Amino acid sequence: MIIPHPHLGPRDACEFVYKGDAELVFRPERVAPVDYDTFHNYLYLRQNPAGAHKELWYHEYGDRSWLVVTRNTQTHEILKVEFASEYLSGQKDRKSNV
Amino acid sequence: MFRLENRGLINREKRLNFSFNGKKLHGYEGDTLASALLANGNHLVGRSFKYHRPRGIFSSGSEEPSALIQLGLGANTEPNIRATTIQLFNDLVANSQNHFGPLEWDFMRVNDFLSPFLSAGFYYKTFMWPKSFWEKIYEPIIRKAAGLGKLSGEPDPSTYDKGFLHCDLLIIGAGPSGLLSALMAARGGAKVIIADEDFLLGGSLNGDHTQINNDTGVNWVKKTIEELISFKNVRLMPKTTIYGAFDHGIFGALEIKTNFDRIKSDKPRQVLWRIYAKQSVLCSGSSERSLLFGNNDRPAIMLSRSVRQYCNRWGIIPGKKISIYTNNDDGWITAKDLKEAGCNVVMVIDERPDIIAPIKNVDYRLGKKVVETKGSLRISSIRLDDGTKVETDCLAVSGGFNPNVHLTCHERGRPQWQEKNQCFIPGKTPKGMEVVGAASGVFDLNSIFEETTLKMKKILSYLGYKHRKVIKLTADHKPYNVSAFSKSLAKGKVWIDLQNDVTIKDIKIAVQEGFHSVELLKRYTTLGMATDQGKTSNVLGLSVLSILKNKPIEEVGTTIYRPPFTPVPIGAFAGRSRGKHFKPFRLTPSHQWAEQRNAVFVETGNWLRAQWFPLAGERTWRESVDREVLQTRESVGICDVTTLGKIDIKGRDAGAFLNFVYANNFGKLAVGKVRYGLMLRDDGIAFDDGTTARFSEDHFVMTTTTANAVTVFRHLEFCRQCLKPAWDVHLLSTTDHWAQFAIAGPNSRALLSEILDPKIDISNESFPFMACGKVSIFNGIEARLFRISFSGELAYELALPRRYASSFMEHIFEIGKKFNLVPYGTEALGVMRIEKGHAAGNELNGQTTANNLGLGKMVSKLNDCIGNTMSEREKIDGEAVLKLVGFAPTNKMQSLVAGSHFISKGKPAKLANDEGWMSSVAFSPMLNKSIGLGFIKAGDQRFGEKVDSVNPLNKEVIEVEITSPHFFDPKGDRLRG
Amino acid sequence: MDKKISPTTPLSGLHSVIGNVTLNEVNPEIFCISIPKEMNKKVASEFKRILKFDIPIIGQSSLNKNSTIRLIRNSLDQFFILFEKASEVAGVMNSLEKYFYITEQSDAWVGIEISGKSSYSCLERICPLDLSTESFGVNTAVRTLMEHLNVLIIKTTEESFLLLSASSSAKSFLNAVETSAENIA
Repeated sequence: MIIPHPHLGPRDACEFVYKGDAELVFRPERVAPVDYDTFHNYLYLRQNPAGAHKELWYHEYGDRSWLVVTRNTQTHEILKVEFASEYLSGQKDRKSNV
Repeated sequence: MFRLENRGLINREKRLNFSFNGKKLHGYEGDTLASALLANGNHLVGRSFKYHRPRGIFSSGSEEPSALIQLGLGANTEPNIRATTIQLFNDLVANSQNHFGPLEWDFMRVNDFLSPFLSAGFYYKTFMWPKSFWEKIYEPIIRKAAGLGKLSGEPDPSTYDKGFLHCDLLIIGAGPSGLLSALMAARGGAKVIIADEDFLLGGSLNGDHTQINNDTGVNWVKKTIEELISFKNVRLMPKTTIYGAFDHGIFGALEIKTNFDRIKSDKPRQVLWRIYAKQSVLCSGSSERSLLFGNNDRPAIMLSRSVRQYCNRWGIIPGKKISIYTNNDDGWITAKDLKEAGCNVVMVIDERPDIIAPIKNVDYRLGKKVVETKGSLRISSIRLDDGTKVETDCLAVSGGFNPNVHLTCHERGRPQWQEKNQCFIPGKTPKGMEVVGAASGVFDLNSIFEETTLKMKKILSYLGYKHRKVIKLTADHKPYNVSAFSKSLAKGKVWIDLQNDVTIKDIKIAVQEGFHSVELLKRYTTLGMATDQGKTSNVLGLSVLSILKNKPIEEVGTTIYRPPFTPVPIGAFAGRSRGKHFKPFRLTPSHQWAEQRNAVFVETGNWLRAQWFPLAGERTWRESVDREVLQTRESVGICDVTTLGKIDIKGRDAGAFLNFVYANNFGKLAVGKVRYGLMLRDDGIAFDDGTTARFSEDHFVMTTTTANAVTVFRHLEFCRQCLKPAWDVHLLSTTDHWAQFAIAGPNSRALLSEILDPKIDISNESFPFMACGKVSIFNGIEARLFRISFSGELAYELALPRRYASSFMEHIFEIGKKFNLVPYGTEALGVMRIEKGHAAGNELNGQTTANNLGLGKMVSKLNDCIGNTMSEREKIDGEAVLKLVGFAPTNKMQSLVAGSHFISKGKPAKLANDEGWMSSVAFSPMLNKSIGLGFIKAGDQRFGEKVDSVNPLNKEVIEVEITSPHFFDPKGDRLRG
Repeated sequence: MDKKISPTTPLSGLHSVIGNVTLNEVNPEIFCISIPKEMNKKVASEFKRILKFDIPIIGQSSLNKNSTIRLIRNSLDQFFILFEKASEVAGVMNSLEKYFYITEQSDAWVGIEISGKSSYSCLERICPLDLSTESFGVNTAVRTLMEHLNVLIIKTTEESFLLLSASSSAKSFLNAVETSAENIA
């Protein structure tokens, strides 16, 4: 696969490390009283769609950026690539701890 | 000799000697092994897979199912090589495969007479009982009888390499459409790679007497290649097979570099390329298929176009009485060329009744079929459906053409049925791939040229290149016509797959037994498997299935083509990653120094670390390790700990960041101090541990374990970029910049004082346990000093720039003589940490929590940090969970074994009674006995209790006493001294 | 303390010629410059003021007038600065230190300069990037993966590259480059 890096252009997937569902960036914050169910859901529940999927890739052999890559899991087509930080700032309403 | 004068693209000046089954033969430069064998009259080249039927050369290219030979000798030997794909070289040695006794008189041909019993599913049904016989008796016999060639069993002496290529346009196949595509792209300025599996570019044109623009096709090829070579933006890659099409325009290519001539070159014999192409054009042409009739597998029954190519390209007389059996126009071109070459064509049989014979100077039958053949080691006669018997020693068969659609299917494209030409053509192609020429189901050259020009114009403008003048090409080709597949099954022993010995009968059985889906049929009968992947047989099989299921062929479907298109040697996939260079290795800064002192090295990840330093006279590793421990604890020792990950953490929010990533509190760590940190995963499982030092308000230095250095860094970047993007934190790995040495033992301070620059005070008062600071050594070399101890001794870790490490080692051991300074390796390091009850990789194994490790109280309850919330889960947090404790054998003579499981006294050793496991063991020279660390339920409340330590592998049981994990100096007086 | 310890380089000053490829060990002084969040907007102007040349975009490098100092932009908030002459380090770094986070990296890397007619075909065997002039001009500087190793590759001229890789795996990296040179020689 080739991931088009927002700054460095098309790069072979061998330069990247895959982490998983981009939902992982929405980590709940621990506040009293502690809501264990929310943490449980964050850690273990995933959508696993057949189709467009937002996922986390780390450009380990590159600029060390964490990217949110929107990839079609059926065709491997890459629909969008953005820096995780950019993605987060576009999703401020979902994020409590930014 | 069976060679024509003045015909063929071979160099008769360059004679090449080779041997087949020990017989010395010769051919010429430009020959393949197959053409050279045919030139010597050798049609019989092997025995078939299952029935040991005599088998000959069937085709002239990579689709060859039948002429599989064993190439080379000794360690260089390679099995199942298609004779049709090997460029002949001098001193080539080839042997036939799969026969017992001479090729001409194979003892296993008895299988042929037993064939009624050996049909589809035979093995599955017959060798089921008794079950125990399968592995020891049935399987080895079947393998011996049915296997093909043999591996040498020795390491491959050849070398291989890999590489990466980039282009605007990859052209796959250098036949007429490929060469025209390349020419257009080259003139337009695009960066082009054109690859072809053949050593001679030109594809079908080299084997045909086609005229292009009133010149021969061969001359057009020559001129085109000459022009292509002149372009800087073109890379011609003959002998290169594009074996796979992968995501996003990535292609796998295997380039043959050394003509299979392995022994004479020290350069890689094959290079596996990864080609990145913005666009690709598939010009892979077509493969001919056979027709179905009784005993259609005899040697010298060959594909018609191949017979023509042998005659035209290699100047071969394929037989003295050649007959041609066709259902399409192409068979007649073979007849015409053979006649022109002066060969004796005895008859052309065309299934189509209503055509006008394109040539008249030959005996022909229209609307007739061949139904049976005779001959033992070679065909001798055929019988037609009207009873006519024709003596013939070579039958050229053409059942139509299958476009080579394989690469269009590698990303789940499914071929579509084209009724007109009776073939499957590409369906949805991988993104960026166009298909032109015969591969797209167009079979006459004029249409191919038109189609290619049209599609290439589009591609070039898409790529942003100009398309200059149209290249006008006209060939003397007529439109192609083929008859539809027969609606009734041929009678007799009718072969579909020559390689796997699959006949019509096998498909019948499979369908009768319910395996009628194409995919199941393939696996039950082995149709289309192995080295040729059914290039000549798949569509024939489908046509039979279509009759049996009474469904049109397009509804029967096709199996999925997967990479590789043709076999790729495992060696090519391994490339240069073999032996010592299987993976890169990392050397510690003191590596050379340690090597000179005969250190024994151990691999930890990619690192090579000194494990121990044997001295003359020491007979066992234990003697060396015990000495290193005792000498360190008695005076002072040095260990290279550079391999621990070092991460510089800087920024306004660095402190808050550490507080977040570590489970224990880091907020209040003072400048000039070090603290132990435990890192959890967010699910509460221990991830890593280490120490972190604070050098200034906004500068921390973290250490990680050697094993997790990379994953911790990745995790920290995740936390920084994805979880705390607003914080000002900066991470940098400094593992390789700093050489770091543990200096441990009661004399460590005295030794350090000798090398520190004057006025640096490291007395216990000014530089106490867990202090850190920037220092200078050896007259102004900047270094970092940490008063931390893994050994439990008064100890320091000194970090200095890597460039000085070698010289440092020389000097410090010179100075250290008066302290009896000893270098110690990872074994002594391990012994000392077990004596102190420190957890390491064995304990942080991805199953254990802070609570298991006895560090539960450290975990922050107040702030939000990675892992603290989930580590409060009931099952993790309870009283009766596993706890890390120490174990000592009640009989001091016994040695503990890591991996043993704990069972309460008096209970049987079974899983239900399992209470935990031993994670680390060592012989303690200080306590003079074997000691261990391990996890046992509620262990911290069971000190003094005796349990059994059971080794489930050898059933050995050792009685152990549960103790504190701190075996040595439990109060820590030494390290604070 | 009257003793002095002396420096060594990971490849002991390698110089070798294999076919049309020349390999030289070069070890510039290297510093990592991290940009504090509050400096993000002022990076370009501060650098310009101190270094007297423009900062590069990500994946590129720029040089001072004498081509002795090279500034590489690794990512949005991180630069590497390479000094050919150790004598130039202090002046520049003392100024930069006031505004940015500085971490010395010199000993973390080994540098191999590859030059000569066959440099491209040599690198073709290990480098996944397209190094042709159109997509990889002079002064391009990016990290990538070669033979499992992290490599920072900088095109210094049309026919030469500076390859920086981890110093601990210097010998494996040299083997990767030398094997390529030998395989094409």
